[in-house]
Amino acid sequence: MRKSAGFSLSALKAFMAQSGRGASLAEPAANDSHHASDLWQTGLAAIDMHLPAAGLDRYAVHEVEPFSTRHMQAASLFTLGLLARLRGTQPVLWCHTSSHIREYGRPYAFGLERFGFDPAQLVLGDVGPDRNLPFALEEALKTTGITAVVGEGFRPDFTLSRRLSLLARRVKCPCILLSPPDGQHGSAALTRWRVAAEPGPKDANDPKGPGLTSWRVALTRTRGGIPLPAIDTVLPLSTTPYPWRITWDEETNCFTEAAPVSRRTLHEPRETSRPDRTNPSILGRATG
Amino acid sequence: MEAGIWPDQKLADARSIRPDLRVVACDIQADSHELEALARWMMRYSPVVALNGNDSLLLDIAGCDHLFGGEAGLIHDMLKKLDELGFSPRIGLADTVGAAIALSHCAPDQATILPAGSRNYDAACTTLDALPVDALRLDMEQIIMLRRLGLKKIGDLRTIPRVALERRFREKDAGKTARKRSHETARSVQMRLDQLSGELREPLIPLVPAARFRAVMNCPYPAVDFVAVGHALDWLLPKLSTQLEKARSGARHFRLTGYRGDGETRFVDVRLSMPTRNRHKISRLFTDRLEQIDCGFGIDLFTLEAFGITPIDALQYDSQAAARDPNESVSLANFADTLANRIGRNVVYRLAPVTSHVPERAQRRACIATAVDWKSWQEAKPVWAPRPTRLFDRPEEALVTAELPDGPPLQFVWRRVLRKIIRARGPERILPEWWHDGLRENTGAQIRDYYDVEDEEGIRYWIYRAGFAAGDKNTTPPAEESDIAALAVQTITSAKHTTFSNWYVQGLF
Repeated sequence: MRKSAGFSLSALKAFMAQSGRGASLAEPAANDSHHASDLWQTGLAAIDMHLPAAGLDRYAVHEVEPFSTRHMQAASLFTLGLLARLRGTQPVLWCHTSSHIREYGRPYAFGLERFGFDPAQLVLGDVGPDRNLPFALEEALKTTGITAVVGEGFRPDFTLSRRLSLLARRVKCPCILLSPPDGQHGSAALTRWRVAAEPGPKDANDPKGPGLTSWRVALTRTRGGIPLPAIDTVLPLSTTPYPWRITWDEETNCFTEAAPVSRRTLHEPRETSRPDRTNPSILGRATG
Repeated sequence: MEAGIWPDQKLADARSIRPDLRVVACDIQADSHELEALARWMMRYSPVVALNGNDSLLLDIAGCDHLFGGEAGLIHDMLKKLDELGFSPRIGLADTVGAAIALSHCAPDQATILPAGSRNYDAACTTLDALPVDALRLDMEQIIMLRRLGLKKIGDLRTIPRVALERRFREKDAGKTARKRSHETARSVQMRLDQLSGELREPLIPLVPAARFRAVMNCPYPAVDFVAVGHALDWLLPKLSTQLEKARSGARHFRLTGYRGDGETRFVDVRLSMPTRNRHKISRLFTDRLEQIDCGFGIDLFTLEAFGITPIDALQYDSQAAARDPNESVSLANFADTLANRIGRNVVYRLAPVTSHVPERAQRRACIATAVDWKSWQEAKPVWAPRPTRLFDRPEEALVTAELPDGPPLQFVWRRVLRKIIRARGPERILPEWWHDGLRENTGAQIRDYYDVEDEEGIRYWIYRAGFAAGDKNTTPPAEESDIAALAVQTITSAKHTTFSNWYVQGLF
């Protein structure tokens, strides 16, 4: 009995090797080899410790998605942050579909400075309808002399993300897929980040103005890393440590851990609505 | 003609002669379209095809006949194919345009080849001399006049000495106008004769400017699917790239044309951002699009042409090129070309600064080959409030509740969702560009007050309030109309008069 089971397994292995499927199955093992220089760290120890080899794999596909579609802009900013961490000087190819351009706008050069991003680095590709995005991304990855490829549009299915990750590995080019949340497909991406916007800490230069760029970030998928609990929604102003609370530091172009913000500091009572308790004596004199 | 029917005859007369006459309304437009389509199809024989009037085509077949086995072979092929298409052509082949037209219109046979060269001069002359004067492209009036004088054949005209010609036309008691007319007739007859003999050159105006670089492939069997088209391309590309290499040139536009058996042509274009003659690059761009060629019942001839020729120097031989997979390493320009040929032109671009303070005008699309100078722009940049990272193509309307008419917004409804604002920065007033927007006339120019606001969820919007600078002109017109700066200053100071009506979301931070 045992012998026959062993025999069938070895026969299966031989058959798979013969039909060439063994090679593709062996590929993930090759994916996991890391070199120190190829790493791409967020710069936050709390997050990097959950990643395999304490950093993101450069030559792979990573996914960034918002918790809900209204946070798409936050996900896009987080992508800019990750790109800034690559510290590349060569062009970034940003392919986006026309539906995304309509919904979320086009990158605006004058705002990119906040992320230490030179607008001259950005090469945009308007790929039109969704069906063109996979083709454009593959072509983009094959391009030599670029820092990274960003694909903004629909969430690719497993086959497609697998193709992209194999290609990214072969041509040694990072690829980030930025897409709205869609739980239907599996994915071959190494990591998936879920991002939501969060009211940031006060800007020291303008305390009454909008705060610094901040996110709540969850790492819902890490292949070969320390797994984290799956999170579907993030409650506004919840004070749990995970999803992580991250702020972008415009001075140093780094992610920083934000200090917890209390509800009170955000919603300061307005000056006008505060009851007037100054000098009641004047009031009394006037009426009396 | 044989039945007693001729052009310009009255329909009733014709019907009385032939009661079974079939009448079809003349559609000149459709005829000329058909002729032009046929002309394009005729480019299979020669790249230089010209329309002659509304009933004939002129082909310059110099250097093309050997592809079809000589002149006779070409004419034979032409006759066979046109016959299959349902035409009954008349063909004349001669050294001059005049002679070819004369032969095709008036020669007794369906196709006539005029013997060429000095040795056959006499034979050629005899052929032409036997043609009637109708072949000379003269007015009807002039032809009648010639006939009346007994000059019925071209030969009769040629024997008359040049000087004597005009005298022959003049009547004895000719007035001034008649003399003028006879002079004109003599001149036009002489011109036509010179064109016939080739003493007067007659250039062709081709339908499509001929490409300098062109490769032709005659298929042994008609190509019916795109695999065969691919083979044709593989055969043609090396030929064309060799031609380009010899001329030390590259091209930016390639066109593969298929000539179908049913008289239609189909082509596919490939455009590049940089001139090239590298056949791998060209072939790569073509491969995705070969299926766009509709083969119909079969393509029997292919041409590959190069346009947009630019001289490029010889490139250094790349010894690694063979080892590298041409599909694997491509430059940014190649990427742009691939997307441009597959998706559409100008889809890959960089952003370039424009000296404008109006947000949507401040950046423009630039070709990726251009060097965009952001460094010097950033040095010269005016002090702006922070700008968003995303800008909508069109600002989107929002319903805003503000505490004061001029105050920052408290909450707004955008895309059907209510967003409560907790922090705001602004306003930043952005005036229209007076040199563009006609601020002076106050037509359509809007003043915008921008706010950078953050909602409860931490999403930051760039919203503005648009208002016409109305009232300024009516109540207090600026002292000097020419002083636009004064107007601008006044607009800022007299905010009370400015009526704001609409709010828009223009970008996201």
